[in-house]
Amino acid sequence: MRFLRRQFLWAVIAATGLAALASCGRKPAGEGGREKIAVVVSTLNNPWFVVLAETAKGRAQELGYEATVFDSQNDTAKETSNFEDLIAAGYKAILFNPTDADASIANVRMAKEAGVPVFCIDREINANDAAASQILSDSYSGCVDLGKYFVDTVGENGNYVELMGLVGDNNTRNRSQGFHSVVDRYPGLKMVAQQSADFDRTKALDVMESILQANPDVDAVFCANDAMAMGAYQALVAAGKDKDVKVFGFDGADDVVKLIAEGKIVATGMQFPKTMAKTAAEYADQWLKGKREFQQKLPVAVELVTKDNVSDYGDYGAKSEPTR
Amino acid sequence: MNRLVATLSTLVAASALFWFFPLFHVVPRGTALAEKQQAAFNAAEYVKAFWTAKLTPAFGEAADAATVLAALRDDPKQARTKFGRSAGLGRTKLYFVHGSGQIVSVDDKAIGVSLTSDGSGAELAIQTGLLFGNTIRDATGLVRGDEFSNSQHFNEVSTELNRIVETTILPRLKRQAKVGAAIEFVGCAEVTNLPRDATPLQVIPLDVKFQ
Repeated sequence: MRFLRRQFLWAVIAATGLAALASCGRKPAGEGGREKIAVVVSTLNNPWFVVLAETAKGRAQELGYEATVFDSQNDTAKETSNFEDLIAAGYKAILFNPTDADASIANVRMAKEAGVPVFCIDREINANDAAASQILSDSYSGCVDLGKYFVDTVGENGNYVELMGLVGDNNTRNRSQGFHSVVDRYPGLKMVAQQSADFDRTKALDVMESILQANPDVDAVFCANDAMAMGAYQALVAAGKDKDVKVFGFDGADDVVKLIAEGKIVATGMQFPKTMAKTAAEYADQWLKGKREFQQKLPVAVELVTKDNVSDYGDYGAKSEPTR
Repeated sequence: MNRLVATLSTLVAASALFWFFPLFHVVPRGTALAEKQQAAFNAAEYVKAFWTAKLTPAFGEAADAATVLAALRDDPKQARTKFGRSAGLGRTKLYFVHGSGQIVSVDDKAIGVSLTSDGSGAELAIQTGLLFGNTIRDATGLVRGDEFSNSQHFNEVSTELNRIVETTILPRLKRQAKVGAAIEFVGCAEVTNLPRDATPLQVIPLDVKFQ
């Protein structure tokens, strides 16, 4: 009997030891034992990205995860530090809006090596073997449509300005290429200035003010996002030219959609940040439940918003969201 | 004095050496990236090979235009599922179609085609103006974004496909198109809003024959 009791005691000690050993390699779960999903966003200094991050976080929470938003402040070093921290903290998946198409690849690879899947949202990384999936706005097509509407409304002759986004971001180049694939076919449309304002409203205001001083005879401004469209519009109001110069944006931000309805901004491209963010959260959930096959790059259509259809849009989306 | 001359000579020699064989070049980041990407992908070569090896053999798989039009009119949901394609999420569907009919109108931007012989109006408008966007690239489902690590290359494929149609298909089509002529075609169409986008269906031609 004593022998059996001792054997039982040893068995309990061994089981406890094994359990302790097994738990050494595991990272802490979140509140209430829920698994943790990180949302890493390039910047929160732009309402559009706030909507993107908060929607991703909200959908992850609805799916039963603890979700936290990390702000990279448009700085790849800060982004790296965020990745290191969240991997160490035991996050199970990352919903990621990259800062730079090339520089962010290393961070995604770091997470992959640590066994943490990354789902890119809105912005692309230039690699097909790092992220689990990339859910991206079809910026090129969206700007083709904007380019066509630009020609329809400005005409085939005139002077225009282009405000570009962050130099390292593929969206910057795709939007510019889509727009120019149309507008460059009309030799009467002359680009008098093309400058980057880093997708930033304040910078766009400053850049546009300088451009207007050097080029007072401008008919239109094409901006690679709505924050810059708002900055450019502000500069035009200050210069008393807001009624003469047509402003085009891209994003579908609420303030720009409202100005389109008021006839102050001509058009924007609705990007559906909520659709992209929700899809990324749902993909992460599916991954954590065992699914591994995802389309590497899933484009999400961008829709042209003008005075003719503006009533169909608002709150960073449309009355009916795009589906497959 | 000799040491000074020797030092100066060494410096001059080293400067000359590094002038002609620099250890590194400083270039703007954007330029460096653009050059790297340019070097890595040649859209013209890709599309030339794609057109011959994949697109042309797939012409036989295009759906019958009259059937697609009837489905778009009678049951748009089924038409989207059965005949439509899209690269990702969105309201727009792309259709890869073939058919034959009679030319009923010709203008600067399109050739109107009736698929029936009852003398009714144009059910199709074969595009002959400037071409933009991804309709050709995405309508067949033969080019996938997953093939490209950089979406700019994927988009360059569209630009090149549009250029080939504009320079090789459209000139002959515009030259030969006359009201009353019988025409066979293979092409691609984009539909977002119904019934607007299907009355008539705007078709970008990939292949045309006059009977």
